[in-house]
Amino acid sequence: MTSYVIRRILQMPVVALLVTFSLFVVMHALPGDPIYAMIGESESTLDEETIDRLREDLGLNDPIVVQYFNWMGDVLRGDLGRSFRDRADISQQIIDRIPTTLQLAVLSLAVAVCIGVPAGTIAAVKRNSLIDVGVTLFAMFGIAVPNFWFSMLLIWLFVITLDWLPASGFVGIWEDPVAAMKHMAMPVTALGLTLSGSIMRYTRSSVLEVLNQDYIRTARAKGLAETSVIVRHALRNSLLPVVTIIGLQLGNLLAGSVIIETMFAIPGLGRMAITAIRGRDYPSLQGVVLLFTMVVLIVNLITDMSYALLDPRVRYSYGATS
Amino acid sequence: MAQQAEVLVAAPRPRVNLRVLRRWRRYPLASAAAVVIVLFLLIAIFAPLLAPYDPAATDGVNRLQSPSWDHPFGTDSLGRDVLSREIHGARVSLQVAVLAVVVAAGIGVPFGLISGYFGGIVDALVMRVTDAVIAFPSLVLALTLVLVLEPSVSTLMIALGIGAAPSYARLVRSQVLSLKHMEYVTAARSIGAGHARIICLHLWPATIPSVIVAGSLTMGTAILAEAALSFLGVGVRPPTPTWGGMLNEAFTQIYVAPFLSFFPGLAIFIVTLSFNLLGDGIRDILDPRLRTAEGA
Amino acid sequence: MRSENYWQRRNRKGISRRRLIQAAGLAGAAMVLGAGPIACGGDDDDAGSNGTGSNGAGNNSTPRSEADGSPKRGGTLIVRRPSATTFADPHRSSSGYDPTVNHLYAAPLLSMQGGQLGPSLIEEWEQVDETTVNLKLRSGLVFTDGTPVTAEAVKYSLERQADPAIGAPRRAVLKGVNVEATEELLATLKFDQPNATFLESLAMNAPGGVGALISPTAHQQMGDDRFNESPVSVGPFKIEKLALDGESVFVANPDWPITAPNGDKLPYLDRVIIKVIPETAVAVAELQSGGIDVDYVFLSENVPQIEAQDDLAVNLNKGAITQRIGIHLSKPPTDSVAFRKALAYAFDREEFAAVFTQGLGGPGRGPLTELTWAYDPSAPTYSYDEKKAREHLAQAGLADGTKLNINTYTSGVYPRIGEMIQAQLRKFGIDLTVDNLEVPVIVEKYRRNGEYWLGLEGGGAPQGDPYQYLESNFGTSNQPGGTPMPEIDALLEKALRTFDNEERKKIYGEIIQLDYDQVYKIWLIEAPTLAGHRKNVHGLEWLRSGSAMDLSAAWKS
Repeated sequence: MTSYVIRRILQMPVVALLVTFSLFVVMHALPGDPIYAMIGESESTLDEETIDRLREDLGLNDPIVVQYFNWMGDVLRGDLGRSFRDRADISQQIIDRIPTTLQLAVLSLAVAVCIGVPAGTIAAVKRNSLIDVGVTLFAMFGIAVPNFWFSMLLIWLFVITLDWLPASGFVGIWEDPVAAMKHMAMPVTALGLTLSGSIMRYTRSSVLEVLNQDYIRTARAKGLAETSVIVRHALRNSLLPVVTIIGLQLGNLLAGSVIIETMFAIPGLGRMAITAIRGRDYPSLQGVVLLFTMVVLIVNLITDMSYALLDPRVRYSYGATS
Repeated sequence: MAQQAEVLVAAPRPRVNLRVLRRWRRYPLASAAAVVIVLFLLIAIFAPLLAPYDPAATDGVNRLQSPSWDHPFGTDSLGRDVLSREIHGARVSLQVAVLAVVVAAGIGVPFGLISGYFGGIVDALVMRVTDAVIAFPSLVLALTLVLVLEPSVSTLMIALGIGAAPSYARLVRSQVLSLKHMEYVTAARSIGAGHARIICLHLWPATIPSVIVAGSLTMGTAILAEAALSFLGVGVRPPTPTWGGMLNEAFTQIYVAPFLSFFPGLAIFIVTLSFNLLGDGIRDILDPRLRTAEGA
Repeated sequence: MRSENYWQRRNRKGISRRRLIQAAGLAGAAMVLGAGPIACGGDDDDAGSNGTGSNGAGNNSTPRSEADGSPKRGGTLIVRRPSATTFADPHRSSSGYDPTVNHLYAAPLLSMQGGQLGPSLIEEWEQVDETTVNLKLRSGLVFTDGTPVTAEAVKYSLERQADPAIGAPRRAVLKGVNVEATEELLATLKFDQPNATFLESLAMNAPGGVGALISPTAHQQMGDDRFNESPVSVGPFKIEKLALDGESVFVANPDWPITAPNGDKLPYLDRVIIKVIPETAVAVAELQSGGIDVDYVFLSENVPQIEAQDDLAVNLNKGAITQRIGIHLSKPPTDSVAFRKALAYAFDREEFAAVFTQGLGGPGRGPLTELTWAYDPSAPTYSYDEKKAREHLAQAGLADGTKLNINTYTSGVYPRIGEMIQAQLRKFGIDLTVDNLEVPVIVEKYRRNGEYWLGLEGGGAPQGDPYQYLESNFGTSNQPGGTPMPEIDALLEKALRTFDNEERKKIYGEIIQLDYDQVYKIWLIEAPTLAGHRKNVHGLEWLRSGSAMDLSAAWKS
């Protein structure tokens, strides 16, 4: 077991390396010199000298591999470099934005879980009833709806027509919980919708599978109350796949945050990523992607490990396969 | 002689009992979904015949008209007929989705087969690469790829296909892992069948059903992803209409013409939903174990 | 004795397939019905323009919103911009929207009102002779780090901006300019050659000019990067919090010595907040709900939203932007004058104006508009003439059309303008590919490498002297693919050395005539820049560039 964990931890940097290096290569193949990104929207005269000097300063003339290793070296020392666009310190920018995206992601996740798990459980328990059908349909809708379209509908309804909610901006939940809730209501709903759909379905099928097991029948035969059976036995054992799903969906959550943050003017990491791509701001994008990658990898590692820890069958099988 | 022996111990091919298809009433949602998909396919194929107007014809005077008899879905900010654009939009969306799945399966399945069968270092390497692709935020990956090569149908299909390939690789790999220890494989090897033969003849066909299911589900994802990219402005070039691009424009007009947001989004939603339902339905048909659990 | 198992019992209680289908149908219907109102609840807007009258600008003065009553003190102004501030460093800003922000904390050396130069940090200036100018600084000015504002700072700032490493967009105007700090508050500019228009570039910060002053002490201590994180200059406001891609907060500078024309102490406001909101629809919603006070990148098509509410108004800067098609002049077939003339006749500019300016702007007539004193209303212009277009096409040997490509910006109305251009050219058999590109890609592929025949451009029409504008439109250094323009360059050179305005106007007239004869660019649309704002906001002024505002004299009632 420990050897498995160690092996997984060692594999993480390899993956991170692969990801960042391929990103590096791809970004450098992007048409459009980042120098021009700095010149911006207005008309301005360009000057060979200026351009060459800037390229030299930013190290853009070195071969890609050299640039990459320089970057890697800096990262290991904790320095993510400076943005090409505005020369701001990237680590600082990322640190500033983490709470924002975190608030959005955690709230969305919380909403999705709080809706998805109970709904999925009830649907499984009351199988083939109207509730089950309703939940399943809702889940399918949630998964199929494009979240930017849903955002537009929400904006149309709650901002333009009803004027109940503010259209944009971000308020930290520690500063002003009420305002934060109002600002977060739509983005969180949009992001949480798809996620809740997946969670609902997985919870439902997982609980169904568990309910079919012998030990449940035993519990019932023992005369335990139905609720007790569900909560104490079925739920606990069926939550594992759900946790795995959350881990897997994290990537989608982060991807979804890119669009949602742009639409609702939330200054988070997703928006930083898009601005970086558009502006050919290699270092900023590298930094954000590195962060996302590490987060996804770590979360997956934790879920895998908890899976192995909690389910002995999995633990033993990991000795056999690679 | 060797071939005959092989046939004797051939893989138990999964029987897609065609009689099951006749009991489509047992799967109402999936059947409805299949019908819808075929409908959209037909719309996409016959788009030029079906669309009442030229989707690129601008008409500054008649811009932003609400739905009417002349223009059942209204007109957009340049005066183009929205219905015609929707119809043509189906072409791009379905084209990209189908091609993306083909690319994803085309890359993922072989890698999965090789990785699962050979194991060892090859397996470890392939798995790390798939981990890397999965860890990459999907939208960022697609955006970057599309911006490197220029926005077009082929670029989109490559970008989305690469993003979806890992799940195929993993799916196929896990199946191969369990299959390769089965008797018929060992038997085939014992009579001297080469690796390629085993993979192509025995292992791959067994994975087809799950690949088909995954394919249908991936189509749904691909349609959503293409719409998202078009919405962000990196989709196919104008004047080709795409549903996501239409939503982009609709958002800027949301005060004056909210109806513009409705139709493209609905189309995306319906097609994605149909692919998902179809995939679920196929899985229910093909996987007997799930069938009893669901009690259908 | 139970013979059924758990599941069979469950199933008996469950619903039949028929109910399942019914439920699905109901749910679907509910969804369609629920979303129906969105589809059919669209407004009964008629498609035409709601041509509201503009707020003046028959002459050169920038239009004001109603300036009723006397200015009140205090309050916070929340201003929206659609993209992140590029640099906080006022020497390096590269977006046309930046000056609204950097003029707050870094006042330029001179000011410009109604096309005329006026004092700012510089109290007086004197053109000693053709190649010498004396600039006299106001006394008692202090940078926010406490160091005094002296002529040394002027020299330092100008020389820094001339340095290629800084990447100041208007660096070229500083070629051949020497700055000396002759006295503590007197800076002398010596030019290699007579230069009639240089002073105008001191009336704006980057990217439109080089007028910003920075504290040499602070800059030397901090270095470029940290200076960009907290720039030290002097202006009507001070920086409280900087977030280039979020919300930045600026507070009034209590020691600001420059007063309003009526003698009032400036600024009136306590605070200014700059908020970045990328999506137009969201910005309009915020304006309507009071989340923001001013949106200075407002689009014509959203004017109806302003009119729908009593407490909102629009400040119109008529003719402030020209949207035109740039042409690669040395790439066949666009190197043929006949073909370019065909293109000039091929566009129905009225349709463009109707669709994209909603009647608030007009068809493009040429490079200049009424905003500049150099404008000549009698200059010839092109308008839509299908017959002439076909004649010229035949002359160019392209009666059957050809394939071309055009690039446009990715934001705002530009992609749609591109689509309309494409649509209008189809009847001539011209197959146009439209590419929406980010600015760096445009600069590389279109301007440097000349990979495109056409490029959709948009930029501020000049107020005051149009030298810089004409140079960037027609001069050699800005031509896509680097086509040399010797005649234009010669005329521009002559204009630069001519100090008499009337003479200069004539030279500019010659340049315009050349453009008409040779069709260097196709002038499609003259659009206003708009600021949507709450009615209780007054004192908004447009800066010379047309795309940014001066908030130093703004107040809220």
